[in-house]
Amino acid sequence: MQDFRTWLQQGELAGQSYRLASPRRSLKGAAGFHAGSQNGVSLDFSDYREYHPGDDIRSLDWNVFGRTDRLTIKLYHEEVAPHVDIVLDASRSMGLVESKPQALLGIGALLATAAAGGNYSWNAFRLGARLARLERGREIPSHWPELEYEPLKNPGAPLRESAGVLKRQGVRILVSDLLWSTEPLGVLRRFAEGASSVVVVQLLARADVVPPEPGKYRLDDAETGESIEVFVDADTQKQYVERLEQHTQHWNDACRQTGTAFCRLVAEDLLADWRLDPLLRTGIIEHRSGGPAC
Amino acid sequence: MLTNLLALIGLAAVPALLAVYLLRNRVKRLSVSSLMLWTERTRMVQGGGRLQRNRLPLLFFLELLILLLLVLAAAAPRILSSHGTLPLTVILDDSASMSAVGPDGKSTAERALQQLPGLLRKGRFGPVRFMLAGTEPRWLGPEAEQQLRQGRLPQDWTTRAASCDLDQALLLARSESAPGKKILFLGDTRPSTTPTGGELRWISAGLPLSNAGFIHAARSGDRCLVELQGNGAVELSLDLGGQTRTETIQLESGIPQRRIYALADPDARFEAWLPDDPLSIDNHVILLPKPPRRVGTRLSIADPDLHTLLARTVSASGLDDPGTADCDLLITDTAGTDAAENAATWFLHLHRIKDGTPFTGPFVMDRRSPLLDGISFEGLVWSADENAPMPGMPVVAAGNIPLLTRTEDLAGRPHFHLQIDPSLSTLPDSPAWPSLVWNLMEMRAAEKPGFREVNLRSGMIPEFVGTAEWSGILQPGLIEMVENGQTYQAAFNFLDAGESDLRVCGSGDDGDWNDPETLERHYVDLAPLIILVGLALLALHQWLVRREDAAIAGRAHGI
Repeated sequence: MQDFRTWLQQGELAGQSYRLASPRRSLKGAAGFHAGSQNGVSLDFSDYREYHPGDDIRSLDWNVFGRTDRLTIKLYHEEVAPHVDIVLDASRSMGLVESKPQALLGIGALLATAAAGGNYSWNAFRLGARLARLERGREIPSHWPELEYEPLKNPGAPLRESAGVLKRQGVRILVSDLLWSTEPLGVLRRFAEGASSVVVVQLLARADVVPPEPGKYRLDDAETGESIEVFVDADTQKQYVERLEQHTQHWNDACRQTGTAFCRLVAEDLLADWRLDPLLRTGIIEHRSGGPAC
Repeated sequence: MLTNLLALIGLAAVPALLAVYLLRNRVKRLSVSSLMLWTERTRMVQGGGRLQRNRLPLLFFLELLILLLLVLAAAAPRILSSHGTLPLTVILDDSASMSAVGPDGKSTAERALQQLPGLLRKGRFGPVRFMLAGTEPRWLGPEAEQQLRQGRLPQDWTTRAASCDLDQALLLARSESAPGKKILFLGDTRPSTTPTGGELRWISAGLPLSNAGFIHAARSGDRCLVELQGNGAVELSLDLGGQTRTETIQLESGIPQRRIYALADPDARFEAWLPDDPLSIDNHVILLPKPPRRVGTRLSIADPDLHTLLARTVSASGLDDPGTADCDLLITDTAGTDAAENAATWFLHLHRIKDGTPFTGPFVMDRRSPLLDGISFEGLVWSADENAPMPGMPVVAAGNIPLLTRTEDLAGRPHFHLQIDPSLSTLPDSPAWPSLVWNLMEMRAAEKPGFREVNLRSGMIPEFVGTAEWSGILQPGLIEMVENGQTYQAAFNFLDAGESDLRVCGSGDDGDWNDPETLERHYVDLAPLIILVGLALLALHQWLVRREDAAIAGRAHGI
């Protein structure tokens, strides 16, 4: 197995071709380079409104007062420095097969690099039994530490508690296989609370997508350690795929209801060519120079 | 029917296939991200153990079926064609050993017969004929055939023959040859070599049993001889003309033991018994005394010298019965005396020669005639008249001059003519003379009513001299005939060392009816049909495999 840092570097390299796009909803944040959702002190004219006592008289448009004899305030767009919180699922299922943790680190690094390209600040989080900042998570991804995976029966629980940890008005990106049985709508509502924009990236391994060959299996749950015996035949395979699709559809529906962007990536495909078409379709990232991704 | 049983070795591939599938279906451990997508399925799996055990895929059963079909095809199975029914001759061993009773209380014949209806049904034979193989073969009638088809023992199958001449039976069966004819032999011993050629099937239903029995018995006057064989101690019961006794005899396997008994009364009957054992037919022996046979002889001789000569000779023979009124033999030198005698009278005509020509030989003798048994005319002088009327066929002649002739009259009575001249011939003084007369009287005595042999053994046919002829089934014991109000007896004893020795009996099924010609002619080869079905199943198998692969690939792409 190659060093985890290799995959962080590969993600960084791939992310240099992208930048994090401005979210559809207006951004809020510290003064920066993006137009905020509120009026501010930038040079970009936004609107006029009637003067109210207490308004900064420096904003009065005297030309309008001369023409109309009415005190009118000239409004400008607020300029903000946007922020993105990248939440990486560190449940044991994400480290199950070789490709999955590699892709997890890679996509995390890619998003962080794309955030840098879009003048976003970023912070990486580790979703374990609790949501915790990743050490050196604000730095360039190749400085990030290796993720430690832990059994996590329900990652939805720490996500519900994420409000106090994640930055308000920032963009939030969750990278997880989402293979937990918690009701997605409740989790997403809490996760999206206070965020300017939320993106959910479902990262699955090929083994998660394609059921095993026909035969008799003892399946061990990576999170709970429970085991069951299953005879896999054509029907079983079909049902598995249907149930996965149904599960994904639940998340997709929940995302739509909460205005969250959703996409699915398959780890092996991602590592093969770093093509991010599903992610591009969400609009969360875009090519930096309008050219193809690397 | 399968013609290549070696192909069945291919069945060994079945366990191999099963092993492949079992290994393939063995429980493999697999870590998954979550069981949530499997739990519903799991409930179904854990729903019932029986369902779980049968979880071999359809493809396995298809492959198993294809494999079995290939093995079956390799074994070249054939079925009897509807138009190809075979003629069959069933030869039944009629020898006495077939009546041996086994521990199950059934005779060997009954055990053999039990297999017959099934064989007939299975073989779908056309015409079936039955033949008994005893000392000589004979066909069975329709009634017996019907009983045999139903598995019942017919009365004709007596199992009393002294031997089973299978070669003769086979010759007779084959003489009525029909294309593809099959022969089934039901016996009690295994063949020395397994029949080949597809014609003969040999089913033996015998059991190797220990049996004691008489194998020889003979009587001479008051002395009786019996021979026994068996194994171990047997109790022999005897009736020596009214005196009964028992004695224990130690028999050794394969070594006959001989016993000789003298009767106090030479005219008494001798009987001996052995205790019951598997074969009862050889456990009883009766030896009757030979009844005296005397000839009522009458002399009608005018010549006093000749009369004296013949009277002395007849008396010396010991066969004359002077007390009887019957004239069995008339010796005469007078022509025309024969008409008055009874229908059974024999005649000896003496032609008294005077001044005849003496002949010193060599004499031409008809040695086939019992009249000349043990007689030599060498060195004697026989005076004869070459012009004497000597009718009939010469028995003794000197050149072309008949000296003794034999003829028969219209009633079939024998007439002997003899030229004799006591003055010039040395015949009356020679040893040949009393022998000649004795032979004549013995011949006549042998033609008197009664059994020629009174002590018969297995293989012999009772010969009764008289107007009646003996017929019937020979059972060990006494047989009787009545002639002219008089009862004549003979004893029949089953004596055969081979039949009494049951150690050589055995059971088995040897030979088969699978010769290539028969298979070609009467059976349809199923192999092409089976291969065709196998190929169809193979195509189905391939289709299923491809469909499954496509389905999996489709699902993978859809994701």
